[in-house]
Amino acid sequence: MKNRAIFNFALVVLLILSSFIGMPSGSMAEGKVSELQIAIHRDENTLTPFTYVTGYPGAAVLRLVFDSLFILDEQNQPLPWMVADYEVNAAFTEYRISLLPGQFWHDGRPVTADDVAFSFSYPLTQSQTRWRRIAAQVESTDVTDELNLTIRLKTGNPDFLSQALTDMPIIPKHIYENEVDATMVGEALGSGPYRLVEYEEGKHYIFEAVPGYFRGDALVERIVMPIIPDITTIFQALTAGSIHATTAHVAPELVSVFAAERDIAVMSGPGLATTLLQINNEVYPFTLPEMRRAVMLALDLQELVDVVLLGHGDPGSLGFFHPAGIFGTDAFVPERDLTKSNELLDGLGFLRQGDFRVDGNGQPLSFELLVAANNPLRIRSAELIAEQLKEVGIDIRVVSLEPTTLDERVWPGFDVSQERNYTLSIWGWSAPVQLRPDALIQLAATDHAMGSLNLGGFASSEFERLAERFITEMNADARKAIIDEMQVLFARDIPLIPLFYQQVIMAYRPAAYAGWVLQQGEGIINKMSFLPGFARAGSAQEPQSDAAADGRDFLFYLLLAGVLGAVIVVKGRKKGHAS
Amino acid sequence: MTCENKKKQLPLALAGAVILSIFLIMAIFAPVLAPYDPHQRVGLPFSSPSGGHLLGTNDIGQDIFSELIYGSRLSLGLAVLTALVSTGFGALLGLVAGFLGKRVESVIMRCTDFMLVLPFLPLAILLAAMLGQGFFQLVLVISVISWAGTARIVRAQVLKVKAKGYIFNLQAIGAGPWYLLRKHIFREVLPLITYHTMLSASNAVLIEASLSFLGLGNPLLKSWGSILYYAQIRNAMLTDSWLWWVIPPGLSIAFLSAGFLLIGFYLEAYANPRVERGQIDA
Amino acid sequence: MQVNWKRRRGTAQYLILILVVITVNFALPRMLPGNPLVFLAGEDVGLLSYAERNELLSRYNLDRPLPVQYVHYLRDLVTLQWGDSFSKREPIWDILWGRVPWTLLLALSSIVLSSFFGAVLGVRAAMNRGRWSDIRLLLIVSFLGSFPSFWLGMVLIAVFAVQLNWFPVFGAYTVGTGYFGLQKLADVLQHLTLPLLTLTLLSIGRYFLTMRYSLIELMGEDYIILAKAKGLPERVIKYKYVMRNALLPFITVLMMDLGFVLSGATVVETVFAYPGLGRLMFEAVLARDYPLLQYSFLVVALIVIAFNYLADRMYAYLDPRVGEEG
Repeated sequence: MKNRAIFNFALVVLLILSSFIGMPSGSMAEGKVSELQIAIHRDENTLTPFTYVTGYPGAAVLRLVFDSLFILDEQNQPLPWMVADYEVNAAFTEYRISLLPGQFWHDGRPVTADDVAFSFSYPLTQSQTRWRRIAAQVESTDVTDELNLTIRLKTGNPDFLSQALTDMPIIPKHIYENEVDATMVGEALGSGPYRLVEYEEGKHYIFEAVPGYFRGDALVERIVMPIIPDITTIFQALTAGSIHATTAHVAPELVSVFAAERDIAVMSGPGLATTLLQINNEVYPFTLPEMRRAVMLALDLQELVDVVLLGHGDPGSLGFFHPAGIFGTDAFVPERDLTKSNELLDGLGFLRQGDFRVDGNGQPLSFELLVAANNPLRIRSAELIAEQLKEVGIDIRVVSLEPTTLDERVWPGFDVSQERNYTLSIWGWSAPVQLRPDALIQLAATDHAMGSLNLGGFASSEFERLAERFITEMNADARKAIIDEMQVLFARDIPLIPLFYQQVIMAYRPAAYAGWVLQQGEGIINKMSFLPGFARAGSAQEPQSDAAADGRDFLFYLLLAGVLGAVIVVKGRKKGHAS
Repeated sequence: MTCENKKKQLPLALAGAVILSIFLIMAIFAPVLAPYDPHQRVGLPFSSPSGGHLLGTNDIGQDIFSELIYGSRLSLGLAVLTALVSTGFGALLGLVAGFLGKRVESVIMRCTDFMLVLPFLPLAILLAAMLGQGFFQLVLVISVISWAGTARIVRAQVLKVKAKGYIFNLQAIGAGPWYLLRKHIFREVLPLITYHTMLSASNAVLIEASLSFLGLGNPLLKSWGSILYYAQIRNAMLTDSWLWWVIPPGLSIAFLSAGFLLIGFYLEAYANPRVERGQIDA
Repeated sequence: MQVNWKRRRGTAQYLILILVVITVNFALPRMLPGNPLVFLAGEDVGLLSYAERNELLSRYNLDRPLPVQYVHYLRDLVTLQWGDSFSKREPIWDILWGRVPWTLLLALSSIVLSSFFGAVLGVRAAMNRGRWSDIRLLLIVSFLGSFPSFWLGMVLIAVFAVQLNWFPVFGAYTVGTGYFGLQKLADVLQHLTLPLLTLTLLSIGRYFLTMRYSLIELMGEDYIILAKAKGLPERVIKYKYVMRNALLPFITVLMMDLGFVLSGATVVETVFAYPGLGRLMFEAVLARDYPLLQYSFLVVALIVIAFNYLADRMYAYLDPRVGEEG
């Protein structure tokens, strides 16, 4: 009796479910794509400039809704966007800007020079550091008329255009002007090509193309972004066809899998996120440049790339900047040299006793290497580094820590003036750092405000002089020359050891949409991917017939038959027992 | 009847014992059984199974079969140690609470209430952050999370035993509390405790795996949980490698966990003969 | 009189428990290393100047001494001014309201299913104790419950969602459809199936074992043996005496499971991208989002305490011998 009840119950559940199997996914219209499902790998809150969380994917997706005066193109070069015409004075203190007419906020009001001026002053009153840092450079703004304004800087900055004007999202004055705390504005109201029409915390975003956008109507009418925190689940959804693209970068091991898949296409380019071996320069023996150099020479970065990234990346340059990036050169990519490394260590008097060496105080050269427990690529890198350094007699003990705990050890309070509690750590900086001309100054200046990312406590008077020269120099070529000098100094003194730059690999279903534009180091989720004139041609392909659905139905009926059969058998048996 | 029952229960226990002893042998003789050092990179990353590597290699070219064998050391050790610590502590408090009653009981029971409503995740992170993420720390973390359930159940059992007639009689003829606790109550509660030790062991294996999955374990320890952590995060489910990278450690965990349970069933039946008497003929 | 007094003491003890939980929920997050600055200041947190950092901390009262913060917290708690989450930048009420229904849906349906099937199977096994059908059930149930939850989830996704395409891979519903009414219900059910199956398969074992164990034990109790000796019909013994009493430990497990499912389903929620409380709390822990942590823990704890309280009352009803169960 009970048996039958259970089976019947299961049967009813199955029947209910059966009628809904084979739900429709985004259907395609001619020419334009009506809807795309793009998984986003983390919740970025209400997606306003003051509430989003991370640079990627947060700020990247934010730019679909908010425009900036300039944007970064595929190669991260600035491109005028909201701007019809601009002029910069010789001292790089005055930026005169004329806006293109015909721009509107998503509530229908026109975008004016007033809004732009407001956007460059309002963040000063807010705690969002990224925009605040930009607003802090502005001395004053002069609005000439509806479409013209001049931004005056406190001190000349030749990089203001590429660093700030491309970055600062232009926000509507009429929304923010009376708001003391900008995070209280829950509605993401911008002037970009997409309007955020729906956000459900922890669940999804829905965007709709803004008709009559001044750069042309977007090619995808609706973008649905489900929030999926687990990367594996994202790629399973992509394989199953329930999403068409994702903000998440493809892991190296999946490249060959997706390449073999007919319905999935892969795009890749150099990555700008830097994974590095962060050294605490204040801890003996890493106070000695020779020690740091010996460690560097003992590392085989190519092996790291080959094993950990399966070749989908580039070995680190000691000058920090990616050789394929704006400031980098391949002159500083180190070669492994065990003999030299051993010589340096011997020269320091750190002699071998058995497997490992002993330092000047008789202490064994044995160090903890801290690594975030949630980042397998870094853990594996750490394990490889331990192996490589063993060959020159340095003992490395890898210690994995919960990520925030690790931050607190390496970068306590996110304030470099506080006392650090580590010797070595696998660390990383996100892609935008590679685009900053003053990145090396942030990484190595002793002044806590200037060297705000100097996690190793590196100190060099020679570097300070270079940094001072850089700040006062206005000539572009001369600045580039100083950056090169700094890289030479980095390669000589080794404040930190960049290990590799992981390639940016994106996967998508080309049948749904193929207009994607890969922005170097970032990915395919950007304005250019969706706008005519920027998106790659041949964007909307013929939708393929859904052959899988038939198979699905067939399998379902098979299962149904199985369950029915089981019920009949069990019933029959029971009867047999009874009689 | 009773005899018959035990005979039927025996294969279960035997199955459990066989499973556990296989894992025990694996753990003890790991260096002999494993073809490679699991920490050594011995092949190309993501290799398929071959003669040289029975279960292929993992994401940096370590031999998965060797990892699996060495993993039994950690998973088994963790299970046993955690079970002993958490059940020992829980049972002790349960006994004390149930036997002494009054204030003591009240305090202890409120503590268990508290542990049971306390969100265990932040607690695990907090402990891991304060203690570090080594093997013994993991034992401690899992024990702290799981002792309360045992304490409650043991205490309930003690109350039941205390209510039995013969304990009253013994008290009436002047048996001391210590004597009662040691000679009678403990003996009556023991089967339940051993049974719970097995349950805890089985649970510990699972909790370790889940903590690893969430990135809160120690991914550097070679446990089955950490093998799965890497398999999951390096997308084994999307490639063919799930067959040799995901299924074997998953099954190992399930078998070990089930092995403890099976022994637990037998111990419970063996040590609780009174139960046998009440067999209802259905 | 006696009973009344006891009941009142029980209530007082629950109040004390709630107070302790409130306090620990305040202290625990703040004992974690690290701070929520990165969410307050945005991604470029390293660029904060010393003054800005202090200004920020004081804006959120994080620079005040802990006792003062505690008083603020108590005040907000009582006045229900729970404020905004540090990391989510939204009112905590809204966040919790968006999550609690899904969590309850998943948790309660899993508890209902697993306790039902667990109980049914447990009774069957106990009635056939020692026979092969009992042993077979024991083997199957204990083996099924021995898989790690994320593993089971991963395998279910790979087989039923990706290979067979029968069920969706992620989420609690299909995003961006105009579904309503029955269609919406079906959609939600379809999304619920795999996570529910995972959770249910894992918890059936606990119910099954508890039911089986306590039934077997009860059958050895003197009064049951007496009833049997008196020649009472089998059915009467089974349902009137045995089942009623076997419910007690069963309810205990049920209540303990509730806490587990509410806060421990994190893993399953992560694997299936299911928007429940477990995942929310996990993310809040990583973000050191003190207010969100405090209140989400509190909500979970209060739900669990409420159910425990109910269970206590139920004990008293089912078994007058037990005056007060811990």
